[in-house]
Amino acid sequence: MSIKFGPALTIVLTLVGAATANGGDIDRFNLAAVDAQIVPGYQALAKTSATLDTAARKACDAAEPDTRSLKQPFADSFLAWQAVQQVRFGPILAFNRGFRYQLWPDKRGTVGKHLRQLLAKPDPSRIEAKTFAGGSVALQGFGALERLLFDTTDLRNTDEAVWRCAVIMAITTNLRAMSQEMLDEWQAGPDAHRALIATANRGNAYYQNAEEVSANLLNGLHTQLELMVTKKLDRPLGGKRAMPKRAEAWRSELSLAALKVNLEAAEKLYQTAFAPRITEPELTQAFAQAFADAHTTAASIEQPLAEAVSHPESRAQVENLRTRLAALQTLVGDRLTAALGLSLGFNSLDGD
Amino acid sequence: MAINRRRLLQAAATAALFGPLPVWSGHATQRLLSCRSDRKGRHYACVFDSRGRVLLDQPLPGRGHAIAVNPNGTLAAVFARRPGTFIAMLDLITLRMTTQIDAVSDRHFYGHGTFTTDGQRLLAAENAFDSGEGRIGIYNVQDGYRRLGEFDSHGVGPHQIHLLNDGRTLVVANGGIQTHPDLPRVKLNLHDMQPNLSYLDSENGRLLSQHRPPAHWHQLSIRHIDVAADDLVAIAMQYEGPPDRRPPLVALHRRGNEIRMLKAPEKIQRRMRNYCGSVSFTDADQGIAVSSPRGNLITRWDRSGRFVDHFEQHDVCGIASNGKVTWYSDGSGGLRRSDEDADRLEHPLNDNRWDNHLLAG
Repeated sequence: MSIKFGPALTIVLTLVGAATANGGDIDRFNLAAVDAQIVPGYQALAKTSATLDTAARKACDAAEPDTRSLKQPFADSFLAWQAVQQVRFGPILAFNRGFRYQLWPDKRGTVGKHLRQLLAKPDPSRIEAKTFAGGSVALQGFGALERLLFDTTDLRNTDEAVWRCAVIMAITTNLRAMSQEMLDEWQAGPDAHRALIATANRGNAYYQNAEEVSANLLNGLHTQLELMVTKKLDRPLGGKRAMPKRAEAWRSELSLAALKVNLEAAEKLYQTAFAPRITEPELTQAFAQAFADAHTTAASIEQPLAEAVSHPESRAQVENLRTRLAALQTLVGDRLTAALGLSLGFNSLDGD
Repeated sequence: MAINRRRLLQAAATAALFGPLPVWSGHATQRLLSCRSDRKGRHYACVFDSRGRVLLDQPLPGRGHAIAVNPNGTLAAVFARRPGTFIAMLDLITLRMTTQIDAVSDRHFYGHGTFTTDGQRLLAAENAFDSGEGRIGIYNVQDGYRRLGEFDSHGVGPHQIHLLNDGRTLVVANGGIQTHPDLPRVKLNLHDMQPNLSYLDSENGRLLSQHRPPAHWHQLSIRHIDVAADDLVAIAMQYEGPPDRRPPLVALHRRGNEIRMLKAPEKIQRRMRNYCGSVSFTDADQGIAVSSPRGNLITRWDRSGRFVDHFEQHDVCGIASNGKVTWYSDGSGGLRRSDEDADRLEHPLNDNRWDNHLLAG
């Protein structure tokens, strides 16, 4: 089954049964998740992307551009993205934004291919802001930027370094602009997505009812856990042999940090939007235990993920983390859907 | 051509069992075909009957999309979902997969195709992805599905294709969306897409006529079509523009005329969520059913273009009709059987999600 990161990801959930909470209550829980996780997540993404862009300008304006100072701002911004990776509805769906932040997994090596083409022939017209934003999605995201910052092996002379810096700035400027646009679309004005969610129960131009928003949130949560298990862990774990370069962000060694951020974000979404709607104490307890186990297991892995999958002892810990996250995914897919009166869908989101 | 007598007899027997139903046989068995997946993410092509008996549940190398059956009902072609590269050929007599057609190296399939009326050739919607141009690939049924060649689909992103009743004119829904397998499922040209409905001569690929939605709805992707016995074409579309706009999503076309856009009452139109998944003529071509899986909704229209009614079915997408009975399949494994007397939803398989398209054939 071909699952790609982005708005096209697998499963959508929609309402089939009656939930116990009424529409107004559901609006309130949905909004709690928006205010506790989503909007702060996009605020952090906008802030860190702006910092990254400012740092890129400073580094590239120097007489001898040195981009080593960008590694930390890159990590901050990339991890801020990881906290909203689970949001798969609203402004992220417009203009291919999801793919523009991150084209991953990139099984055909498109990011590298497009980047090599761009670097080989300096042409400022290709990185002009509007052209760049409308061009290859593979060049615009964290994947391309990570290669430029952490994989400098083919850097040969200063001219090339200058062009490379120009490309870096094109990416950071674009990420900054995109992040600010999305934040505005979430919170500014009467048509802001937050406002649409706040009034979903009454019906509006975007949402039929509050359960539709809940379904989007639950779909995001389930899809994210699936992505973590099947792409972020199964792929680098490989079959018989570890495949370390299949780990997300292996160059910057942020794979495990990304998973931890994903897990925290998932838990916050669960806590705000869904936990208050569960009426069975046993299920609440099962979730608490599953999240705690997953956190503990993730914390026990000391090496970068790409290394950890390659050594027998640490590999067992990674496999353990995979088991914990898969258990969480099953809890969401089977128990939480049933508790909320929502059901897994299949045909709804996948444009064909 | 040597005639295999045994096969011929089998074909005749199958036609008797599964052929077009006479009007009086309201509850006779109908053969149905659909791709499906289970919750472990395994994919199958399923041949079953309207009583819920599974005749063949063929595992596929990837997710399938639509299925075409040849005119005498003995062969089925299961097309990979875009950007897939296989067509699984099923023998409907022996009920097994016989062969797999692989796309040539610089093409992938779009999920739809059709047999020619004489059953000799299989036509498939394909993507020449390096140029982004749509193609119709031609395969020789009698010669191990050797690829005979291709012709231009006269647009980007050809999706569903159908022959008109002359057996020669091919109508192509060129969805207008450019994709490349290096960027699977990324839509590359949303700002300047130009969908069209093209009529081609299937003998030589010549463009006979071409029709577009109005310019201000250029982001309205023409994806799915069905053809009535008098060549009226029903069209179901998907809108790629801003979600707060409400374009028409259903249309009718007859050659020589303009595309006629249809709108449901505003409240219903909104619930279609700018997205239709499939379309089928129903009730001896008098009716048209359109699925909107994102809105969990079926809308029904008559052949004059009048909106008739709607009903809800969770995650519904596939629609098939044998002229009298209509079936609706959904992502929770539900199969609704509907005729003028009754309406019943069943779940013939466990752990099942019906994929986008259902066929009665």
